Amino acid sequence: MDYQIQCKINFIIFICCLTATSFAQTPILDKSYDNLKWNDFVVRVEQNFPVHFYYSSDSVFNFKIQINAPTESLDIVLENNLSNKPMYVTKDKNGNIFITQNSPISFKLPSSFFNSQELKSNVKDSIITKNETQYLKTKNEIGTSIIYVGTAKNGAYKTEATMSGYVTNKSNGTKVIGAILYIEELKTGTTTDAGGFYSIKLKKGNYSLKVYGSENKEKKYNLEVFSDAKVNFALDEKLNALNEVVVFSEGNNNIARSLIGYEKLTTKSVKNIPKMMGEVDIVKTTLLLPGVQSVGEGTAGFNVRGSPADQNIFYLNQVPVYNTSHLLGFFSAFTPNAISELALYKSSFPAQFGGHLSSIFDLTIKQGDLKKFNFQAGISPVTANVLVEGPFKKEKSSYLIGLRSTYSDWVLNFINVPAIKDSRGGFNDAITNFSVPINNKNRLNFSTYYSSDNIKLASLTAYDYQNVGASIKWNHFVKQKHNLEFSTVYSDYSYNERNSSVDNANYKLNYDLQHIEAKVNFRYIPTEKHTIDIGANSILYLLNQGRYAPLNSQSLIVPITLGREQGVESGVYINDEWKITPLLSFTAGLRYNLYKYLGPKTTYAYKPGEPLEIDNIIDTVKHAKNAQIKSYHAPDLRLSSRYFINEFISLKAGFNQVHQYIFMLTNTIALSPTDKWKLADNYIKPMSGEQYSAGFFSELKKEMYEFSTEVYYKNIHHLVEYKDGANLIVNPVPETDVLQGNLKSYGIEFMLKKLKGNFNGWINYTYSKANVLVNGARPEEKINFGNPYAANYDKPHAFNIVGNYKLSRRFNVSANVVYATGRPITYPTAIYYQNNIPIIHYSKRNEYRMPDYFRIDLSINMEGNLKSKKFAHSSWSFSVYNLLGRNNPYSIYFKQEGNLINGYQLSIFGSPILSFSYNIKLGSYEN
Amino acid sequence: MKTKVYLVVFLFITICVLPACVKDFQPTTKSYDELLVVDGNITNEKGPYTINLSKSTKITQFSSSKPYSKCRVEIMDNVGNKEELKETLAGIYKTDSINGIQGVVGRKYKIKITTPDGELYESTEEEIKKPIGIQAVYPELQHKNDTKDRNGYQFYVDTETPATVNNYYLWILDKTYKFKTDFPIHHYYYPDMKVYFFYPSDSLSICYKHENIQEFFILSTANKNQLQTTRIPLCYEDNYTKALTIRYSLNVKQYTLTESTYKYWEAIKKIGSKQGELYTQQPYQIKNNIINLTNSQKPALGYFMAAGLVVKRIFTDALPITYQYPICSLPPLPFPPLPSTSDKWPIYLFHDFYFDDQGCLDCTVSGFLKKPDYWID
Repeated sequence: MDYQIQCKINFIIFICCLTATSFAQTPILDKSYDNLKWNDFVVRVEQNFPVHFYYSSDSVFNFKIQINAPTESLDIVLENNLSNKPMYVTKDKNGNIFITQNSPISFKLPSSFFNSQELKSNVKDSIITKNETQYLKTKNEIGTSIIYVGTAKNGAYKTEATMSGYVTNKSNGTKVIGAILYIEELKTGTTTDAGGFYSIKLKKGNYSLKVYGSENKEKKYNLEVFSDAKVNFALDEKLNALNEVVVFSEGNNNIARSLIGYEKLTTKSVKNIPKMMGEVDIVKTTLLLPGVQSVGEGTAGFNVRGSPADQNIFYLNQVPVYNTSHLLGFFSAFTPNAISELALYKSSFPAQFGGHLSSIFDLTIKQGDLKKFNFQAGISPVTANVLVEGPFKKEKSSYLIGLRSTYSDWVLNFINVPAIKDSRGGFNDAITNFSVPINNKNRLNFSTYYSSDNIKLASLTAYDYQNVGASIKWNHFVKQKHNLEFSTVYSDYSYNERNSSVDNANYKLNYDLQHIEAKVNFRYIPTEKHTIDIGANSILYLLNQGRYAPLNSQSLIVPITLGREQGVESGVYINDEWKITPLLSFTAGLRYNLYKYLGPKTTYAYKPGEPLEIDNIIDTVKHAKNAQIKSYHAPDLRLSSRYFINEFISLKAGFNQVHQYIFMLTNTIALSPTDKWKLADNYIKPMSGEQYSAGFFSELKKEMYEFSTEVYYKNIHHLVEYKDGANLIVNPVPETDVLQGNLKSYGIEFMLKKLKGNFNGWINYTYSKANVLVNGARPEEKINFGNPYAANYDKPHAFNIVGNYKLSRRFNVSANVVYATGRPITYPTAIYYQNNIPIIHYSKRNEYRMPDYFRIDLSINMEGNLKSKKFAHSSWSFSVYNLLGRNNPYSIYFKQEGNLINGYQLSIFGSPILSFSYNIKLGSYEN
Repeated sequence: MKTKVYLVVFLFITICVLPACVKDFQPTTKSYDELLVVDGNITNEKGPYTINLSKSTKITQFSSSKPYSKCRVEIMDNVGNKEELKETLAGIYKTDSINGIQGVVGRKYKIKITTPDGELYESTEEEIKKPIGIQAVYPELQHKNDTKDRNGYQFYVDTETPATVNNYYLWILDKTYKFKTDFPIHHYYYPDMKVYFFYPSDSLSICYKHENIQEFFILSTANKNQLQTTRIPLCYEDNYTKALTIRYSLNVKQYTLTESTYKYWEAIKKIGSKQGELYTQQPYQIKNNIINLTNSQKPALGYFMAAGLVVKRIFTDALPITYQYPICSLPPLPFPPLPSTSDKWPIYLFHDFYFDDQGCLDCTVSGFLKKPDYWID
């Protein structure tokens, strides 16, 4: 009989789902139901309320209903009237009430029901009905499916149950990292970790659950929680070009998350944004977000919330990348197809992160397809790229290899100008990712990174620079919800310069930076209210500042060896994300940093009380290998909080404190390829900073729009600046050229996103200021005579629009509008003579501004036919960069020509730049 | 060096992929016009000493320096001597050649300037350092292939061995050379178009030309384990002008400076003349030694320099190399008619041929005929 009932139930649930009746509240019955016969009672309740009773007609129901109070809920009424009889009441979300004799409905289905693929491997005691599976196949958007979590029997004497499991991509079986499971009634939820695993503790009862990821469609479920159970979810991927959200910079969870100053982009979402030279560049796309600037287009380096470029750190699957640009900054050095997403932290850093004051660009490599082999390739005017991925062992382990290379040398050969013909500008990059689950509890991930540039300019100067990196990560899951993660990371950045532009002063110069890191993180989830991360990391920096040496025998250069540097930066931390109430959450992190600057090294002692100048060196001190030359230690405090005013509005506030022990020796206006990273040492103190931020986040029209405002104030101490005219490239005693000052920046950012519909995109406006003050005691320790000056990248007004319009299922049009105040500049202002020699007088530092920047880009993207079964799918993208052909100033420079000083404005994109790119991959669009 | 590299990068990116564009740009700057500029030295050499006062000009009006007249200019030393200078020409103030103040090694000097508007400027005290002598200035034939393939003389200086360590040098150079026009003169005419015979035909052929070399050279021997400095490269004179074709004279003024004065010149050198590119450093305002006592917000430019000075002049003869200077060529056939208007009369002719560039025939267009007093053939 049980079996029959179950069949009936299943069928009924199926029907109910299709009709999508929602039964949210239990009916309230008044005294008029009192003393009714059971059969009459059922008829009447079914007439007045959206409920249905199911019971076996052979059961004995010859009694009258008793209602004691003036009004009573149906649940209570049933409880009171049936509890003394051998009958069990079970109800579902859709208002179906099942009454059985002798035993309750166990909801345990025959194993044949679990035929949905994504559930097959792991689901043991959770219930997703066949109906749901079919239902999902037919109509995904409407209605809600039901999940019974555990069994009433198992949960009989408990009040709480833990639901845990994996969230995977339905198409290829890969785990979804950072997927969000949100319980609407509790206004709380959880996210999947790096292994796609989640765990949440709930009181027994009924809930509405939303499951979604930044690249995955949202699915809604009704949960009935009985006891502990594993429930896995398989989500459809967003088909961006075809479906709604194309330009997606983190969805509605921005309102819910307690982090402030956080943005997320996925490669899929940015691929339709107009491209420069046809290259998809997720990192450069961040320039369209509020608070991210660069000195000029095509330059290396990002300035996040008023900080210099060396205060950012780029991680690619934990590998730090110390030079992220190709061709001096025109492109980012990351193989586009191999990146799945980029998370940008502008303000609140989880305590796991330390060491860089301004921002974290956290890039995640795509996980290889676990189900089948996949191949894609693309070509643009500058590069060609290939990506292969597939399982080693189906649904267990996978690989991914992405490669990109230029063929611009081939283009250069067509140019018949000697200086150009002899120039070369080539770059390559490669990313691999291997995912190997050892068993259910242990998983191993191995990824590698490589990028290189070979630039040769008119036979005079050659730059070769490269990044090499790898990381191994081991995840161990404890009790299915705690996660122990151990990683080792290696990264190496090096360059070689060969300069023959001045005949008897030609030289070569090399540089090398190695970053070796080990870290451990334990994520402990004691209750659903706390997510605690405890961990430690330690980085060994090995720097070779290189050797400046003659390039050939003609050169009169005296070789200078700049020496090696060693340092160890370690940190221990604890971070707790605490959901105090459904409305209020609070994240607190404490990190303690310890940094040691180590020998072997020769340092210099200076006359006490005198400025650090070569003239004042009185002694040379030799430090032995691994001897501690100097150590610094300091705590970093991280706090952030989120409060829901109502379902659609949240307020956030944050405080972020960081210490930074490595910085870039650069005093050029934009980062140059010969800039070097340098460690804090016995004279140059580590930089530190605090940022205070607050924000207002809201969503309108059912997540159609999201509006947010953030304000911030940042104060950086011991900012590294340089004496006027410092030569940093070849300076064996950099402390003589370094000055340490203070940077203050503040701003307000407004962002309006339209997340859904045929037209979507965002508009943002930022007002910001960044001022530097270097005011030492002595005249030579002041910059700009000790007055504050605008930072080189200070652009107070910035306005961006990113829009995407879906013309048809295969075509879409995207456009960007970019406006920013011109960057500050120091102008030559007057000429005078001294002993018949003309001398140029300059304004105060950054006293003036270049003309404003304005640009519109457009792209049209076309997909091949959308047949679901085909061998290969191709897509075209056509972009116009700088549609208006506006002469935006890249630089303004001055040259003495004869007896005149002439000013010139250079625009590198003085007319619209057209580019096509073509991509092809195996399978249909969806694959 | 980086700058140059970057230009090339542009060129490369520009031509090969991107339609870049360079256009003239004149910044609008305010508040830097008409600042007082002080240009003057006092040295151990015998007076009179000259202080030039002018007003700064916008970079677009480079050559039109505006003299600052009617100022009261005083020089005083640290032993009580004091002299008010006389304005001999507009903006040029001189000390008395006979009874005037005299620069003495080891003494400190300062200048006081009161403008007609009543603004008072004063320099810091500057010491005249004991001048270090010049042992030799000598040229060396050198080939260079930097801006173009060129040959010429690289001049070097060797100093005498100074008595003290930590010396700061500044070299300021001027040159005089003898040159010859490409063609002799046979005829000349005035606006009435009557052509006269010119004799002797080479009487305007050979001239002298004097130029200040706009590059200066500095050296600090602070913290160097040497006293004497040798083979300090000075200017390079190449074969793309007529400078080395007959006889050439280089006049080397070697100033021995105080450290602070040296830093002023060093700063000028560091900033260089080309600025504003993305891969150059920030230029900056150089700290000088003139203080505006009336209005500290309005700076003065320039430097009142006190220094030990020695001067050495050397001569070199023609170089045994091929010259690459542009040679005047006859106008193409058919010859154009003789012009009837000109800024300068008479117009000289080679036979009956007219040259647009009269400098091809008449050396006084760019030089002078009178042999300078210092000239030794």
